[in-house]
Amino acid sequence: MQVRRMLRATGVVVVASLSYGTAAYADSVIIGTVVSADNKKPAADVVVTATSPNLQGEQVVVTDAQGNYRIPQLPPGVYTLRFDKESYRPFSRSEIQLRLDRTIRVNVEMLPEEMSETIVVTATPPTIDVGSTSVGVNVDQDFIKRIAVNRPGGKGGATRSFESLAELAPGAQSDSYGVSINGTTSPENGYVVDGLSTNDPAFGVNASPLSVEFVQDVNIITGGYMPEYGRSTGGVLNAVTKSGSNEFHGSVYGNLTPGIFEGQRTPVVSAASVVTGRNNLQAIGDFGATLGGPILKDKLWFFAGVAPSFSNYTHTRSVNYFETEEYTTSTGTTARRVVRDPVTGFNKSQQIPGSEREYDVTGQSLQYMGKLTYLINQDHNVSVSLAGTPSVSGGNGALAINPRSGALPGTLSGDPNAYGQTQSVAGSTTVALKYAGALMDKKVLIDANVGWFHQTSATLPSDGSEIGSMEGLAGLSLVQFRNLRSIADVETNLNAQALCNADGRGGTLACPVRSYVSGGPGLISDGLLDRYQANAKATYMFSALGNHVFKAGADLELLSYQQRKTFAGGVNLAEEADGSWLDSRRYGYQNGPDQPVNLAFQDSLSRSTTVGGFLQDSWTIANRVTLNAGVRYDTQWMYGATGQLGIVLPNQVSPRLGLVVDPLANGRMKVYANFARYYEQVPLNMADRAFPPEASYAAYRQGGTGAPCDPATITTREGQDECRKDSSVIERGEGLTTLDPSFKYIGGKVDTTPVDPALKPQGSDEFLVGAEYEVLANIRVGANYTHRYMNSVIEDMSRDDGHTYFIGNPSEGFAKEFPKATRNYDAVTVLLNRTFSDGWLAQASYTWSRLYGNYAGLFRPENGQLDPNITSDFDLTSLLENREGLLPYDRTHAIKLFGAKEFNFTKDLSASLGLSYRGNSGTPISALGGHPIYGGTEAFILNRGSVGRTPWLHNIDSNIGVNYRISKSNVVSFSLDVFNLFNFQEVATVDNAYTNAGVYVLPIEGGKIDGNPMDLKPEQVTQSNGRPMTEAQRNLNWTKATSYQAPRQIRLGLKYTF
Amino acid sequence: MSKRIVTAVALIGAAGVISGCTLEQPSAGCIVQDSTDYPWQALYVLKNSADEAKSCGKLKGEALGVFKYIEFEKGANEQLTKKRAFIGIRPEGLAQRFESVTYEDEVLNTDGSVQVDEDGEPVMEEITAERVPGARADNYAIAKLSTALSETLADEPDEKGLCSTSGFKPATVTTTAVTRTDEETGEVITVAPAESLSYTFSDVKVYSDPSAPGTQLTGTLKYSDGPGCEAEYTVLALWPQVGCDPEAFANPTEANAADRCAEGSGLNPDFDAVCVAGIAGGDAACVPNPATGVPAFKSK
Repeated sequence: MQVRRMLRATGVVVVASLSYGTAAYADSVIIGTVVSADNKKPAADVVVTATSPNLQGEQVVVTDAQGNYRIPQLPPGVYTLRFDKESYRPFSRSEIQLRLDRTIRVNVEMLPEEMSETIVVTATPPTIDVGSTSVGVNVDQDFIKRIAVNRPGGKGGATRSFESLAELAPGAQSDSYGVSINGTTSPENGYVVDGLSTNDPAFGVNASPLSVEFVQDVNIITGGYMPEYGRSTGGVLNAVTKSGSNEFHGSVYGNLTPGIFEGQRTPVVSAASVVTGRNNLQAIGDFGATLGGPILKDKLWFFAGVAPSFSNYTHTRSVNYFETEEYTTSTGTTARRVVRDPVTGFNKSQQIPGSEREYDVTGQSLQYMGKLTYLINQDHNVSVSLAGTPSVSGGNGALAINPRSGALPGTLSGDPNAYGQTQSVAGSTTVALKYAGALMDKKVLIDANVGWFHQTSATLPSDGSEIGSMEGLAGLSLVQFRNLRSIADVETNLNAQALCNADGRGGTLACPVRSYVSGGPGLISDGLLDRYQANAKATYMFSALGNHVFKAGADLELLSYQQRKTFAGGVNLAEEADGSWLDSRRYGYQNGPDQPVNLAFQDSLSRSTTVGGFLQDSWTIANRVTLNAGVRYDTQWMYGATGQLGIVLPNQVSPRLGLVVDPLANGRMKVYANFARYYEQVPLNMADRAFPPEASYAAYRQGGTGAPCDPATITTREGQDECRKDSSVIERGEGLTTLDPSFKYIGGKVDTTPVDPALKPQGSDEFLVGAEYEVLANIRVGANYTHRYMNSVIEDMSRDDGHTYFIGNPSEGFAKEFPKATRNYDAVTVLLNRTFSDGWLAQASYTWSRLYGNYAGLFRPENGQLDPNITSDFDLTSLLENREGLLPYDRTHAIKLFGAKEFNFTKDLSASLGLSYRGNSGTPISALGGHPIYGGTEAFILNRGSVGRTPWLHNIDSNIGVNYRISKSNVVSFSLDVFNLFNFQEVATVDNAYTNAGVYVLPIEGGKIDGNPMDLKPEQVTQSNGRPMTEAQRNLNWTKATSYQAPRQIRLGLKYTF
Repeated sequence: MSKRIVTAVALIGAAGVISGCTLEQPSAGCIVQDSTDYPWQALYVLKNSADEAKSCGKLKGEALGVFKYIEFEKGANEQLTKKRAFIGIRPEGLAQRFESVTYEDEVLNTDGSVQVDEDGEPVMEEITAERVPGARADNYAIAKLSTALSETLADEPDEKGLCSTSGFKPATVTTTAVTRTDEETGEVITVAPAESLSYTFSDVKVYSDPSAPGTQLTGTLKYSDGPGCEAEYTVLALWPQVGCDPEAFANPTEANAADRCAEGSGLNPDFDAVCVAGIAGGDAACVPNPATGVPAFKSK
């Protein structure tokens, strides 16, 4: 008894501390049937009143002749339902947890007043969504508060972005640009905040890393969703921001992850290069305050918040030299060579003393949010909100964190002074207006959203000089030295001449540098991206052979991607083997032979219009069977950089069909099946890059000591002024015998990329079956099976070995000789879910899955190439040999366990302990080699993913929270999140390259060798010149670690809520 | 910056109105593959077989440099307005005339006598001479004459997928004879002859379709190798230049597809291409099937 009372008291504390911010985005539904307890007959005309701290006023409906009621458009929250009817005893049911986008059934038996016998009608309300087949998880503040989520570092780690919560769902895992859901890539997800998309219009990734402090509820839908959600082939991350309430509530908080508590990182050992770099955490932190409350009670609420955050790392660059030794050559002479480690075969290296140089790696963000919610009357409300996530990173000597991936800087293999010259600016601003109304006794509902999403994405010189200007850093060209030198000669301050020259070759053996950048910042760009979105949906409820919830909606999205970019100084200068210099990158065109016109910068504006709508009906028969049927239609038009229509993705007809059976008709069990077709909204990067590509020309310039392009002065402004003059341009190597009418300038024309007239939009199909059962109050168990596959895929391809390219569908249209793009995902998930109540919560899931095919998605996991629909995957038919196999995000087993328990020491002091375990089997390993045309590691020597797997990864995180109640509604909380508690340092990724750079090989026919693929021998591989590969051409680093698990990190948090 | 936003808004609004019409893929316009990395390969077919006997009637085919140019007017803020498109054709037969010739000649003493070595043999020196002197002068004025530039190139292909051109000026090279005098015999030896070559293209049409974007062309060539000789040819060309084996072409097997202008040769596998000997610097190369004409497709 004592325990129970304490728990109840805890519950009050919890509700008080969480309800300061509530949601006005209302898409959840409570349905049910009211019967008379004596004869079990339906009770008509019962007045059902829903109240909640999250609801302005109250919502009242009346049961129909069958005793059914439905309360739509409810914001998520904890509800109390009151049932009143004349001659019956009033009945009230409280503590009904209603989640975002959910329909829950609350059936009630009412006692007639004259009844004298005691009938027990108490039961806890169900939590199963009986109206929907959608699967995924719902993450609310109860969960966020008690489980270690939003790991610091990585994408959105510093801001504690809502999107990283998606990783909690079964079938989800982190990928390079966010979270991969059911085998798809993160840019395929739909990111929705308050009903409006926050996908980056150009690349599809989430562009609004909104802090979880501003978010009330996140619904991660991994599959089985209705036509009202569209334009994504991955999952949907639906977040609802907080709103005010009738009481003033707010919070002040701070979180800090100091570097000193970071676990030991396992260093990556590889065939050492001369320059090395490592990143160490200094500190990551976020602070903020929120406040919500009434301006006019029950009429006008406000919510406001501000959340600055920062990430600081140190990048240490150091320079090595290779140990050399004397040896006797085959001809009997003596020479020197680099000493190799007998075990690894790598070059043996030592650090040059005093060569370490430290860089700051910095990122800052200042998020803000404001929202007003106005209740016009009980049936109509509007809200207007403004949210921003501006951030800057790097500049003034500090290095930047990649805003799209969260990646830290790699090795700085150039002039130490040439780094940190640019600042990366990224951010989004969202303005949204929302209306929700009910008409005709709540039989007709209208929801409408209008929003403007504005995004900036820029890499600018940190001295403030403008793109296109020849002043400051914007005027200083990037210089690429490409001939073999000794780093001691290049970086004289190392004072390493003696050390390096001991190799007897002027340091080119012991301290070689070949590719060495210096000078200015290179590509600088300023991008503005906009999305104007308007959508409206109407819901009509009627009865005809059961109950129907019919919805119809329309959705218009206008995207634009405006970019101004240039190469600093107008050109990147690259050294040629003969000492001349090449304008390797420059924007411009030629008006005729040898009539170049330089563009100080390139402006482009690409656009997209997507028009669509949907119809769907959710038809419930006898409270047991729900049939969800609907269809969505979309068409997208994309306009290229010059304003011309570039591509049409027409007639995307997405049927969705689902069946949900509630065998007990009490909302505690469901068995469901669903078919869905999803279509992709193609991000604008393709329009920007293909319709037409950017125009550039090149020229060779006179180089050498004393020449206009003098390597001694070319990194300086004066030297570059001399080099960049027209008079330094030299005739091309072939002279006048060239077949090019231009004798000096190369290139300068682009044609738009052709599109197969039979092009079909990109989409995938999904089959889903599953069951869920609420075994005990608040505890659901379930199982489901998902099968997903691709229909048509859009890619750029070449049928003539890379000579001409077009955009089409592999295996369709005139890309008939290309194999079909495949990505088959099969997964079985079993799960247990206990929502937070009575002081504890638990979530457990196990997923078995298989991801197989030749198409990974909108980016290439092997090299991180983020070019939605124009990656190099399908460029040539010869690239596709052995390309089908287990895809990089295939992880057979995934276990996710989350649990939290609350302890109450006194009336005012409580603590919580949360533990989570995430275990994954490893990812498939491939044997990649240089492709004769594409180079790099584009050829699959063996079948993709057939060379074993990386090891299992285990991750244990913990959360300890202490809450002290100062007064009735004032609570101080301290939290301690430990990520990777035991600092497991298992290998996370390995090197898939089997060949060294510059070695071109042919795929092995059939993709298999006798015996273990791990034992692949170089002589089993044929080079493109027909000769067998040699041991010296083998990459010794193959299957060796390229990264380890993120180390232990500890985040301390303090929060005051009132 | 805010002005850019306003522009973006206005343009987006306009787009919303314009779109909603077409569900067909837009035309990519007249694409022409440039010879930046690979030349075009032409086959020349005499229009009048009687010309075969003439010195100017011996052309069989050669590599062509074909380039498309788009002329823009650059306005404020680097804004570009398209003025016209045109193409340039630079035949190998003209370009190679700029190759300098190297020959050996006797070294003369100051008195004009032949220098001899200790064995009494004349001392020879290597001399490099330009066949087209002064080609670079006046900003390459003479060199530029060796490229045929059209006045126009259509923006869009016609219903047959052909992009017409107009206004080709003749491309010409005039070489001066390179001679040496054999000091012993007094004979004047021509190392390279004086030539006056002229290519006049007309009716050049480039086939441009999404499935074969600017990779075949046809046209008429009036060729003259000096005053009094002119012959007219039909030009059939494709891109890129790909070598082939006439024997394999005559005896096709699955394995030799790459050697007979089919799959794996680097050509669009739908091309109806034939292997013709001696047209690529003496070697065999693939060209559009003259029996089919341009466009030459297997199925069409």
